[in-house]
Amino acid sequence: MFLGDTLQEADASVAAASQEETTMMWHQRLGHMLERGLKVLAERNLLHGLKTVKLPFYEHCVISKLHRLKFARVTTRSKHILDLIHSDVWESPELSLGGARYFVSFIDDYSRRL
Amino acid sequence: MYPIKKKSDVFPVFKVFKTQIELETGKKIKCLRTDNGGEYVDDEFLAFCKQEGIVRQFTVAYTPQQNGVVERMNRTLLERTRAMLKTTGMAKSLWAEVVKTACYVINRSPSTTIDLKTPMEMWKGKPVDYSSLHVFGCHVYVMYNSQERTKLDPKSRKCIQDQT
Repeated sequence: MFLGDTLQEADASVAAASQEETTMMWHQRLGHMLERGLKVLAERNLLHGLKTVKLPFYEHCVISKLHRLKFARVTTRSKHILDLIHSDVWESPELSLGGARYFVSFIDDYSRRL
Repeated sequence: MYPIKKKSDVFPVFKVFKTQIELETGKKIKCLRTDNGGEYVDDEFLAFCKQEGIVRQFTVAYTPQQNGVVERMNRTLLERTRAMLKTTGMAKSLWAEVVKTACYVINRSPSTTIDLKTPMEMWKGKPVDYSSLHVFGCHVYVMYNSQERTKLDPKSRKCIQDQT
Protein backbone atom coordinates (compact mmCIF):
# COMPACT_ATOMS: atom_id res chain seq x y z
CA MET A 1 0.00 0.00 0.00
CA PHE A 2 2.75 2.36 1.06
CA LEU A 3 4.88 1.22 -1.89
CA GLY A 4 1.95 1.69 -4.24
CA ASP A 5 1.50 5.22 -2.96
CA THR A 6 5.06 6.20 -3.77
CA LEU A 7 4.81 4.62 -7.18
CA GLN A 8 1.68 6.57 -7.88
CA GLU A 9 3.38 9.72 -6.73
CA ALA A 10 6.42 9.03 -8.92
CA ASP A 11 4.20 8.42 -11.94
CA ALA A 12 2.39 11.62 -11.22
CA SER A 13 5.62 13.59 -11.06
CA VAL A 14 6.77 12.21 -14.43
CA ALA A 15 3.45 13.14 -15.92
CA ALA A 16 3.69 16.57 -14.35
CA ALA A 17 7.02 17.29 -15.96
CA SER A 18 6.10 18.88 -19.26
CA GLN A 19 7.29 17.32 -22.50
CA GLU A 20 9.33 20.47 -23.07
CA GLU A 21 11.25 19.91 -19.82
CA THR A 22 11.73 16.22 -20.60
CA THR A 23 13.04 17.07 -24.03
CA MET A 24 15.47 19.51 -22.46
CA MET A 25 16.65 16.92 -19.96
CA TRP A 26 17.36 14.35 -22.68
CA HIS A 27 18.90 17.08 -24.85
CA GLN A 28 21.40 17.79 -22.08
CA ARG A 29 21.91 14.14 -21.12
CA LEU A 30 22.86 13.39 -24.72
CA GLY A 31 25.42 16.15 -24.86
CA HIS A 32 23.14 18.75 -26.46
CA MET A 33 21.83 16.46 -29.16
CA LEU A 34 20.04 18.08 -32.07
CA GLU A 35 16.23 18.05 -32.13
CA ARG A 36 16.10 15.73 -35.11
CA GLY A 37 18.29 13.19 -33.31
CA LEU A 38 16.05 13.26 -30.25
CA LYS A 39 13.01 12.70 -32.48
CA VAL A 40 14.58 9.63 -34.07
CA LEU A 41 15.33 8.07 -30.68
CA ALA A 42 11.98 9.08 -29.12
CA GLU A 43 10.06 7.49 -31.99
CA ARG A 44 11.78 4.21 -31.16
CA ASN A 45 10.74 4.66 -27.48
CA LEU A 46 14.34 4.63 -26.34
CA LEU A 47 14.16 7.81 -24.25
CA HIS A 48 12.12 7.17 -21.10
CA GLY A 49 9.25 9.57 -20.58
CA LEU A 50 9.74 11.39 -23.86
CA LYS A 51 6.77 11.22 -26.18
CA THR A 52 6.63 14.44 -28.14
CA VAL A 53 9.95 16.14 -28.78
CA LYS A 54 9.78 19.88 -28.41
CA LEU A 55 13.05 21.70 -27.97
CA PRO A 56 12.69 25.36 -27.02
CA PHE A 57 15.18 28.10 -27.99
CA TYR A 58 18.34 27.24 -26.09
CA GLU A 59 20.94 30.00 -25.99
CA HIS A 60 23.92 27.82 -25.00
CA CYS A 61 23.51 25.79 -28.15
CA VAL A 62 23.16 28.86 -30.36
CA ILE A 63 26.27 30.41 -28.85
CA SER A 64 28.28 27.21 -29.07
CA LYS A 65 27.15 25.72 -32.35
CA LEU A 66 26.42 28.68 -34.65
CA HIS A 67 27.98 28.19 -38.04
CA ARG A 68 27.96 29.84 -41.43
CA LEU A 69 25.54 28.69 -44.07
CA LYS A 70 26.88 27.48 -47.38
CA PHE A 71 27.76 30.24 -49.78
CA ALA A 72 25.33 30.47 -52.67
CA ARG A 73 26.68 29.67 -56.10
CA VAL A 74 27.07 32.78 -58.17
CA THR A 75 24.74 32.77 -61.16
CA THR A 76 25.49 36.24 -62.51
CA ARG A 77 28.20 36.44 -65.14
CA SER A 78 29.59 39.43 -66.96
CA LYS A 79 28.33 39.88 -70.50
CA HIS A 80 31.31 41.78 -71.84
CA ILE A 81 35.07 41.91 -71.59
CA LEU A 82 36.35 44.19 -68.76
CA ASP A 83 32.93 44.52 -67.08
CA LEU A 84 34.42 43.07 -63.91
CA ILE A 85 38.02 42.38 -62.90
CA HIS A 86 38.89 40.15 -59.95
CA SER A 87 42.20 40.84 -58.25
CA ASP A 88 44.20 39.35 -55.43
CA VAL A 89 47.74 39.25 -54.06
CA TRP A 90 49.45 35.91 -53.38
CA GLU A 91 52.38 35.78 -51.00
CA SER A 92 55.22 33.37 -51.68
CA PRO A 93 57.00 31.57 -48.86
CA GLU A 94 60.21 32.12 -50.81
CA LEU A 95 61.80 35.12 -52.50
CA SER A 96 62.13 34.73 -56.25
CA LEU A 97 65.46 35.06 -58.04
CA GLY A 98 64.34 38.48 -59.26
CA GLY A 99 63.48 39.55 -55.70
CA ALA A 100 59.69 39.16 -55.89
CA ARG A 101 57.80 38.14 -52.77
CA TYR A 102 54.24 38.36 -54.16
CA PHE A 103 52.30 38.12 -57.35
CA VAL A 104 49.19 40.13 -58.13
CA SER A 105 46.61 38.68 -60.48
CA PHE A 106 43.87 40.36 -62.48
CA ILE A 107 41.17 38.10 -63.90
CA ASP A 108 38.58 39.26 -66.40
CA ASP A 109 35.22 37.86 -65.28
CA TYR A 110 33.83 37.41 -68.81
CA SER A 111 36.72 35.61 -70.49
CA ARG A 112 38.46 34.36 -67.31
CA ARG A 113 41.69 35.56 -68.84
CA LEU A 114 44.41 35.93 -66.26
CA MET B 1 49.87 37.93 -63.44
CA TYR B 2 52.63 40.22 -62.22
CA PRO B 3 55.36 39.27 -59.71
CA ILE B 4 55.96 42.18 -57.30
CA LYS B 5 58.43 42.96 -54.55
CA LYS B 6 56.12 44.73 -52.14
CA LYS B 7 52.36 45.01 -51.68
CA SER B 8 52.43 48.73 -52.42
CA ASP B 9 53.42 47.80 -55.99
CA VAL B 10 49.84 46.64 -56.60
CA PHE B 11 48.60 50.14 -57.42
CA PRO B 12 51.29 51.05 -60.00
CA VAL B 13 50.98 47.56 -61.53
CA PHE B 14 47.21 48.01 -61.78
CA LYS B 15 47.74 51.27 -63.66
CA VAL B 16 50.08 49.54 -66.13
CA PHE B 17 47.61 46.67 -66.55
CA LYS B 18 44.69 49.06 -67.04
CA THR B 19 46.43 51.19 -69.68
CA GLN B 20 47.62 48.18 -71.62
CA ILE B 21 44.42 46.18 -71.51
CA GLU B 22 42.18 49.14 -72.33
CA LEU B 23 44.31 50.09 -75.29
CA GLU B 24 44.30 46.50 -76.51
CA THR B 25 40.53 46.08 -76.31
CA GLY B 26 39.31 49.63 -76.81
CA LYS B 27 37.10 49.01 -73.76
CA LYS B 28 37.21 50.38 -70.22
CA ILE B 29 37.47 48.52 -66.91
CA LYS B 30 34.14 49.04 -65.15
CA CYS B 31 34.42 47.25 -61.86
CA LEU B 32 37.19 45.87 -59.65
CA ARG B 33 36.55 43.21 -57.02
CA THR B 34 39.14 42.60 -54.30
CA ASP B 35 39.50 41.78 -50.64
CA ASN B 36 40.18 44.48 -48.04
CA GLY B 37 43.96 44.19 -48.13
CA GLY B 38 45.82 47.41 -47.31
CA GLU B 39 47.19 47.51 -50.87
CA TYR B 40 43.63 47.78 -52.22
CA VAL B 41 42.11 50.22 -49.72
CA ASP B 42 44.99 52.61 -50.25
CA ASP B 43 43.80 56.26 -50.54
CA GLU B 44 45.59 56.98 -53.80
CA PHE B 45 44.28 53.77 -55.36
CA LEU B 46 40.71 54.62 -54.31
CA ALA B 47 41.02 58.18 -55.59
CA PHE B 48 42.37 56.91 -58.91
CA CYS B 49 39.44 54.51 -59.36
CA LYS B 50 36.96 57.26 -58.49
CA GLN B 51 38.52 59.54 -61.07
CA GLU B 52 38.49 56.78 -63.71
CA GLY B 53 34.91 55.81 -62.86
CA ILE B 54 35.82 52.28 -61.77
CA VAL B 55 33.36 50.82 -59.27
CA ARG B 56 35.14 49.09 -56.37
CA GLN B 57 33.65 45.97 -54.78
CA PHE B 58 35.09 44.65 -51.55
CA THR B 59 34.49 41.27 -49.97
CA VAL B 60 33.29 41.06 -46.37
CA ALA B 61 36.32 41.04 -44.05
CA TYR B 62 37.92 37.61 -43.61
CA THR B 63 35.56 36.08 -46.17
CA PRO B 64 37.71 34.88 -49.08
CA GLN B 65 34.72 32.79 -50.22
CA GLN B 66 33.35 35.99 -51.77
CA ASN B 67 36.54 36.29 -53.78
CA GLY B 68 36.00 32.84 -55.25
CA VAL B 69 37.10 33.43 -58.84
CA VAL B 70 40.55 34.64 -57.94
CA GLU B 71 41.04 32.27 -55.01
CA ARG B 72 40.16 29.29 -57.19
CA MET B 73 42.53 30.59 -59.85
CA ASN B 74 45.32 30.74 -57.27
CA ARG B 75 44.75 27.05 -56.64
CA THR B 76 44.96 26.22 -60.35
CA LEU B 77 48.06 28.38 -60.74
CA LEU B 78 49.84 26.82 -57.80
CA GLU B 79 48.91 23.26 -58.80
CA ARG B 80 50.49 23.80 -62.20
CA THR B 81 53.43 25.60 -60.68
CA ARG B 82 54.18 22.77 -58.26
CA ALA B 83 53.89 20.20 -61.03
CA MET B 84 56.30 22.09 -63.29
CA LEU B 85 58.77 22.80 -60.48
CA LYS B 86 58.73 19.11 -59.60
CA THR B 87 59.22 17.76 -63.14
CA THR B 88 61.96 20.23 -64.03
CA GLY B 89 63.66 19.90 -60.66
CA MET B 90 64.13 23.67 -60.61
CA ALA B 91 64.92 25.63 -57.46
CA LYS B 92 61.90 27.14 -55.70
CA SER B 93 63.40 30.57 -56.23
CA LEU B 94 62.36 30.27 -59.89
CA TRP B 95 58.69 30.29 -58.86
CA ALA B 96 57.96 33.59 -60.60
CA GLU B 97 59.01 32.20 -64.01
CA VAL B 98 57.00 29.06 -63.41
CA VAL B 99 53.88 30.93 -62.28
CA LYS B 100 54.10 33.06 -65.43
CA THR B 101 54.23 29.93 -67.56
CA ALA B 102 51.32 28.43 -65.61
CA CYS B 103 49.36 31.63 -66.28
CA TYR B 104 50.20 31.39 -69.99
CA VAL B 105 48.95 27.83 -70.31
CA ILE B 106 45.86 28.34 -68.11
CA ASN B 107 44.79 31.11 -70.49
CA ARG B 108 45.01 28.50 -73.23
CA SER B 109 43.29 25.63 -71.37
CA PRO B 110 39.58 24.78 -71.45
CA SER B 111 37.62 25.92 -68.39
CA THR B 112 34.23 24.65 -67.21
CA THR B 113 32.94 28.11 -66.26
CA ILE B 114 33.19 29.20 -69.89
CA ASP B 115 31.71 25.99 -71.35
CA LEU B 116 35.09 24.37 -71.95
CA LYS B 117 36.28 27.19 -74.14
CA THR B 118 39.66 28.72 -73.38
CA PRO B 119 40.06 32.20 -71.86
CA MET B 120 42.08 33.35 -74.89
CA GLU B 121 39.30 32.13 -77.16
CA MET B 122 36.75 34.14 -75.14
CA TRP B 123 39.09 37.10 -75.27
CA LYS B 124 39.98 37.09 -78.96
CA GLY B 125 37.00 35.24 -80.40
CA LYS B 126 39.13 32.68 -82.21
CA PRO B 127 40.86 29.43 -81.18
CA VAL B 128 44.42 29.43 -79.91
CA ASP B 129 47.43 28.37 -82.00
CA TYR B 130 49.32 25.73 -80.02
CA SER B 131 51.98 25.00 -82.64
CA SER B 132 54.73 27.00 -80.90
CA LEU B 133 54.30 25.45 -77.42
CA HIS B 134 57.32 23.85 -75.80
CA VAL B 135 57.75 21.84 -72.62
CA PHE B 136 58.68 24.23 -69.83
CA GLY B 137 62.26 23.76 -68.69
CA CYS B 138 63.35 21.59 -71.61
CA HIS B 139 66.82 22.06 -73.09
CA VAL B 140 67.14 24.30 -76.11
CA TYR B 141 70.16 25.31 -78.15
CA VAL B 142 70.21 29.02 -78.81
CA MET B 143 72.26 30.23 -81.73
CA TYR B 144 74.72 33.06 -81.27
CA ASN B 145 74.30 35.88 -83.75
CA SER B 146 77.27 36.75 -85.93
CA GLN B 147 78.31 39.70 -83.76
CA GLU B 148 78.57 37.51 -80.67
CA ARG B 149 81.11 35.03 -82.07
CA THR B 150 84.14 34.65 -84.28
CA LYS B 151 84.43 31.93 -86.88
CA LEU B 152 86.01 29.42 -84.50
CA ASP B 153 83.66 29.98 -81.56
CA PRO B 154 80.75 27.63 -80.82
CA LYS B 155 77.61 28.40 -82.82
CA SER B 156 75.09 27.81 -80.06
CA ARG B 157 74.71 27.54 -76.32
CA LYS B 158 72.54 25.24 -74.23
CA CYS B 159 69.67 26.98 -72.39
CA ILE B 160 66.49 26.14 -70.54
CA GLN B 161 63.15 26.84 -72.23
CA ASP B 162 60.91 29.53 -70.72
CA GLN B 163 58.63 30.93 -73.38
CA THR B 164 57.04 33.60 -71.25
